Amino acid sequence: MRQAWTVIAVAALLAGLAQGALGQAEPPQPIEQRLAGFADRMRLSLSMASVAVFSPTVSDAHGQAQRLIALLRGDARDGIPGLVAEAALFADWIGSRPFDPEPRRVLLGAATNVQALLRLALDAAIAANRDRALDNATQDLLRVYAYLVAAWGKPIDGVVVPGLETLLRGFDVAVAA
Amino acid sequence: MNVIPVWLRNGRLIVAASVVIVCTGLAVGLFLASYASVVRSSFRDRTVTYAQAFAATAGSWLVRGDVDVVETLAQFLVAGSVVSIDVVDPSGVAIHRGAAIDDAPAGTLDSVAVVRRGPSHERYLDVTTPLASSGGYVRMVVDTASSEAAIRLAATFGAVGAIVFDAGIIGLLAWALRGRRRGDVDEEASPAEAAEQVVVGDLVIVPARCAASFAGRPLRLTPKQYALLTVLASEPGRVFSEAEILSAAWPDSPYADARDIKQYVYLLRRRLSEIRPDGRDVIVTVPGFGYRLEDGR
Repeated sequence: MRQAWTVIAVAALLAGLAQGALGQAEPPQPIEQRLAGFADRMRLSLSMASVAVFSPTVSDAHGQAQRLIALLRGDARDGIPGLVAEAALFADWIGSRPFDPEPRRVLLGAATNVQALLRLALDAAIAANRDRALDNATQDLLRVYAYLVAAWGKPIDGVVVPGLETLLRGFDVAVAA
Repeated sequence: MNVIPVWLRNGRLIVAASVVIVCTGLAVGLFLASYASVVRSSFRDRTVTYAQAFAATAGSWLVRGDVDVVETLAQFLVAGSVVSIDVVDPSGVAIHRGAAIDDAPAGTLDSVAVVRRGPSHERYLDVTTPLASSGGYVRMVVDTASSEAAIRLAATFGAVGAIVFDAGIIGLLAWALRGRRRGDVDEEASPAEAAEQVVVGDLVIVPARCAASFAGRPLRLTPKQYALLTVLASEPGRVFSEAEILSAAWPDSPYADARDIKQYVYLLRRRLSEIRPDGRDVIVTVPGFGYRLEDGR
């Protein structure tokens, strides 16, 4: 029951955030717009993970983990791609474009990082959903949060693993070039 | 013949079992009270942090103007142990998800957690925490069923554990006391020995084993103490003169005298009183004549 509700809610939210970009009948979105929608869903995932870490009960932790899984993995039946799959699309898109070598290397590296870190976040969310003890579930949800933060790639004192922020900044430059 | 065994009649096992049961009950009760306090406190802390984390997230989305996202996040929370959630912002945002709560929030300026009782006396934790960005607040009412269930489970395990522990300890005590009973001459004597044994009240002497017991417990006697007791027990109630005792118990000791008798009577009385305080009265001094044996009851 909860899982069904989760899928419906996440589907509705994704539909709103992606603004119809995911429907077959809609025209394909520009990559920048798609990236912006992706960033919004990343922000939502981060919000959910930041709250989920403090779940007071195992059932709450499981519920939050299921919603994070739905966001990261998507729902094939409803044609909703997850963040992991969409990150792969960005990597493919960058690989297929005639960018200059240096921006291409940076963007491709960032997209690959995002994809890898989101996959790790998905694994951690799945583990959290299986944990029976609250402490273990909390640790796994903390890992989800950490991977999502890393995937975002915000520099801290100049130290950064290139991620979504690099993509958001670099796309405009690279596409314009 | 006593139907109730001597060791039980003496009540040692009952007293020991009572002490064990009371001590275990106290220990388990104290542990459970402490455990319940820790669980409730931990649950309360986590719930307050949960509400604060949600308030921080909701605040950041409200600043961006994404009220829909806050509504969705609130709906996600209500699907768990959260009974209801309210997000109230001075800008006019008022989101409510979950059950209707009649009581007013306990406070909105600082994080406050209040325990409330539902219609069926179920416990709810009512947490209110401010929205840092805007001066509004988030109110989260959480069902404490899971933490109460953990406490009930611990209480069940504690009770079962205490019963098993008590049963084990009482079993060990019974076994130990039964071990003592093995030394009881009257209950362990063979039929031939039983036929020969001398019984004077609670005092039993088995000549074939040169053993004696009093009130069901073995008397540890030296040969001379045993000889003295045997002489007195040969005719319970009769007064034996010192000369008679000397000739019967010290036949080969020409130097033995009344002082030896007096010393051994003292030692025998001490052995008897170690088993039962009134045991010393089993041997009666008849001034000017000698000593005799009472029946000991």
